[in-house]
Amino acid sequence: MGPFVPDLRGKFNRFLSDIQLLQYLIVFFGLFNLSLCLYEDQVGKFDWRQNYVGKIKFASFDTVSAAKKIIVATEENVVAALNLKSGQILWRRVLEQGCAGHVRALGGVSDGDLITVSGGVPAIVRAWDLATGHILNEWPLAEQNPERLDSPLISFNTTGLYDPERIEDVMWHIKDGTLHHILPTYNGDAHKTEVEVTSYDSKTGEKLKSRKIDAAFISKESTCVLAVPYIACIDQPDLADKVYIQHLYATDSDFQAIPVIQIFGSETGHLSNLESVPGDEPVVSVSRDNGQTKRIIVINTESAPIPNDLSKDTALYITTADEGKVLLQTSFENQVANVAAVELSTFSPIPNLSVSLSHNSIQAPTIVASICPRQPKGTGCRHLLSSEDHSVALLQHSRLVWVREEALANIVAVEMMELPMSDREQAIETEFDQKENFDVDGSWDVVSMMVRRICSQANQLKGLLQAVMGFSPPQSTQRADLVRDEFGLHKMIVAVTSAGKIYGIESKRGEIIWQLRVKNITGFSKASKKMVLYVQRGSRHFPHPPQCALLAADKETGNGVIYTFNPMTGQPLGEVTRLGYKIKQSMLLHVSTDDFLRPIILLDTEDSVHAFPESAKATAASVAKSVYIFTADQETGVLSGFSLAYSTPEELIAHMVWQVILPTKTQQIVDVVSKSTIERVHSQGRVLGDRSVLYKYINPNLVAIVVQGVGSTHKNTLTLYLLDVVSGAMVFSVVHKRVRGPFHVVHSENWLVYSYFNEKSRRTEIATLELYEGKTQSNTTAFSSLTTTVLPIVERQAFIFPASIEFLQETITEKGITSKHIMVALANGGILELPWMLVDPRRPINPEMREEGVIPYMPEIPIQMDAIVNYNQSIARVSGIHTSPSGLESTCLVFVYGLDLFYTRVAPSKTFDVLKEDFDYYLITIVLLALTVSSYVTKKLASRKAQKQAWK
Amino acid sequence: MATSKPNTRKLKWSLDFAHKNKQEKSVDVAAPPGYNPSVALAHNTEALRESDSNHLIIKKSWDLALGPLKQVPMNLFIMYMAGNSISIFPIMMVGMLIIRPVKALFTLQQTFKVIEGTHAFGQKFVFFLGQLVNIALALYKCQSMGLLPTHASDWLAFVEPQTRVEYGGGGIIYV
Repeated sequence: MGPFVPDLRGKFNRFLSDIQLLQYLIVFFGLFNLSLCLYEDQVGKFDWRQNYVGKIKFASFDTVSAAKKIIVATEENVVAALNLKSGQILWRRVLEQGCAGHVRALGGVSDGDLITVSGGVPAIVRAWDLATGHILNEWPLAEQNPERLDSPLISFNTTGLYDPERIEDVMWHIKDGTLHHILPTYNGDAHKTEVEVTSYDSKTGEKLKSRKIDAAFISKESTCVLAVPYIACIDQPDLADKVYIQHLYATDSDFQAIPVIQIFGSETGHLSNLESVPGDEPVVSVSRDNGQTKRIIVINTESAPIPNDLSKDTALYITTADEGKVLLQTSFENQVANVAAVELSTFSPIPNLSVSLSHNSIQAPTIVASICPRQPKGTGCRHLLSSEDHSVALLQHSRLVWVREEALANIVAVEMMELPMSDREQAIETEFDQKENFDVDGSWDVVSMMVRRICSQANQLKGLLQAVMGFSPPQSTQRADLVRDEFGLHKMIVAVTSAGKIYGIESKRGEIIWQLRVKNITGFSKASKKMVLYVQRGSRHFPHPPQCALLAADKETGNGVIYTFNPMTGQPLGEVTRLGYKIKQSMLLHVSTDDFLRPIILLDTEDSVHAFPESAKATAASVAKSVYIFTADQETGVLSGFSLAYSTPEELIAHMVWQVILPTKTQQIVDVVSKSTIERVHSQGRVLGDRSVLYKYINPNLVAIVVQGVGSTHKNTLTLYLLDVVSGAMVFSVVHKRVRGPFHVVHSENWLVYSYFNEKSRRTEIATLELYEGKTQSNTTAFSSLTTTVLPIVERQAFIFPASIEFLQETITEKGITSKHIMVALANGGILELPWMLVDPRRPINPEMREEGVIPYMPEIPIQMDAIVNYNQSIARVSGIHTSPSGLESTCLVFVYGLDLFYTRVAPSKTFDVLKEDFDYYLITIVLLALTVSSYVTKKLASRKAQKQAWK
Repeated sequence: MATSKPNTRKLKWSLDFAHKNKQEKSVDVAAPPGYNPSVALAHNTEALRESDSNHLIIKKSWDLALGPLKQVPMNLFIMYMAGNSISIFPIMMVGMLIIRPVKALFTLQQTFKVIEGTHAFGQKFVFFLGQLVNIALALYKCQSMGLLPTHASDWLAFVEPQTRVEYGGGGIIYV
């Protein structure tokens, strides 16, 4: 060997440098290919998307275009066209988010053009192309009127625009290509009270004319409604005794006053609840002293109240059929919706236009649009119904054509649940159910087990025979496809919507399996609409049914409501529990009772603790020593931690152990982000360049508190506190100056990723923090917040992100072995799968200090187009991303919700535990078989040859 | 001595006058013509030769025993040549460096079957020592190449996650 060694030296060097180059190339190309991208034929195979428009605000049938459709404008600031036959969205335009995009008026459809007025100050008027949904014209309506600078009702700010709070008083009317802007004003002086009507050309924005109509009857507390071409007003609700009506376009006409006696036939009581009845005639409804009945007034030059009592809950609509005006009264009783049609003038019923129907999705509907075209067979009506639970339905000739579940545009809480086992597996489970077989003395009852075994096997045989003989299989309670699959990829998505409706959606195709509605519940606070969904029992504890609990507030009292249901079937488990207190905070305990139910701990506003279910109090008390609960009050800026250590099995006691006060003058809590409770961290440390280990600081009780600066000096600052909620210790804090929201935070393992908008550089930035214990672990077996006093080492870094971010969420897998990616919802509708490696705070600035698997620092994070998991299926207005582990370690399930729903699965470290889909089973089988056969054949041949040789 | 017998047999030829001599000693007959008394020294040379071959064997077995130690400089050179980067040739070499001495140690008895003698134990010991030195060298090479799991990071995958002692929950208040 000796002689050629020196010769090898040169070859080695060349070889080694080649290898090194190759390694760099591999890393380089690896960067491009960090995420799993789709092939064209895989589109829609693992993912689905559903589009929604939201709760309908305005609707109009488009009868002028060649393709019949329905034009809708919704509470979600969406203008869309729905197919008349199928209810599918033909086109959809998403307007500005929030107040700036509120649709105030929609009209002109019958004239062949669609005009919308949206936003507040200034209002934006848009003309749309009916067929395609393109904007034809757009102009802002912002007018200055110095005369009314001192008006208390309509106050004007320095720029001469409306006070945003009074924008609700403005009424709009679109007719014949003219937009009327109607504004009742009150100046304090009765003689100057007037209604200002300004007309604009709806397409060009040209001001046509403006006139003022004296309306002395309007006072500061008046409620006015528009019943075109009239305006109707009543005084302060408790004092009103007359309905005043004024024509808006005829300047010379005087107002009419209709007293109570004329409406209700008796002198007593006051008027309230003046409402305009939508439809083709100027009609208003009014009730007396908030009574259960109301009456309508048909307005014309001689307005006539109709002396028929209508129920308060009846929704009214006026349509035109056979040249006559028809009043449609929609009522809802015992899950049946009734549309009763009566002749408006005579109140005689029209039976052939009346409908009565019952459908799961139609709850307390109102008619938002209706037309009754004359047809050869007779008059039939089309009604577009919008229900209280946000669903939209089209009725045609008293038949339900389609239903859209628009509540799904407003999801507030999501859980993904494993599906239950199939019937056969459940039978096996029952057979081996140990609890029942266990005898008193601890021995197994052999005989009964034997009997059971034979029974179950006989049943299986029977089933097999029946299947073979072609008999119908026994009726199963579950659908055949709704069972757990091998890899746990098929799940049930339980989605709670702000309308109080809960949906069970299977994850493979996005089909709605069940839906149920909890009456009279609402989100905890109006602003956040927050509801909390807990999984108390998973689907692995047969025969106990899986159980979810929904925590919400009562619509009237605001007290807590707990609703438990089976997430697989949508069946309620027990009654709705209406609590006698308001829930301040809640938490799901980590232990379960004997029947595998995890109790919920509730903290009420009096700081006393309750357990749900009540029977689980003893279980809760048994672990109370190690349970802590904390609250963060956004209004007072107080963070308090409570310990349950003083609890007894009879009573749970919360004892305040720490308190942190953030001064509300300078700081306001925006968000509190804790880690996912199901998260597992596989790797306990990080290998450094010198092969030592930097141990991660994995504190499960750590939360990030996002605080925004308020006041002139602290405005545009972001402070992030890392707080241990058990000990109350402030672990770390960081301040960013000259930044503003929206802030999005992901908190997982030992790191935090958060995004903000940098005011100084005018760009979105992503900052990351990583916490390390150091080169040694203080306690290798257990983590206790109370004994760990060492503050972690914090690594941090910031990156430029070249897009606007709507939401951030990290992927999660079963064992936490797979590397983490961050799902970024972009404002342009893409969902980006961003490897955490790219935002690693340990990315070295000096490229010589390389560590294994760490990319040198670059300020900008590139957006790879093949890392956008929803390819061209844009998701509008994402409000949340829910990630859930699947049965496969490599795969994480992602459910994106917002105005649209999108579901897909991602594999952050590629599918290392599954054979590729295009794996050639045939080829490998054939090769294996051929090899085996050929080895036998050659063996034979070889022995024959040896024999021949021996004879020679 | 057992070895002398085959040794005598090995000699191609020899004149054995011993018996005759012994018999004639008593008769006292004049030496026949051509008799050379120095031939009687043949006994002595034979013994000398015998001891010489013994010595050779011992020498040979020492050679064998010292073989591994002699390989050390060569191995050092190879190791230096191979470098510390991890690629196929250095790995192959290091593999050889380890496997060879280990194999030799396992076949120790067989190698020393032919070697017998007073020095056998010492030789065996030296041989063993030499192989150990080689193994140590190979291990040192592994170490310098970073192939030995001597760092904390090599055992990181087996570190169990810390168990949770306290459970905290909560967040922004609902009301």
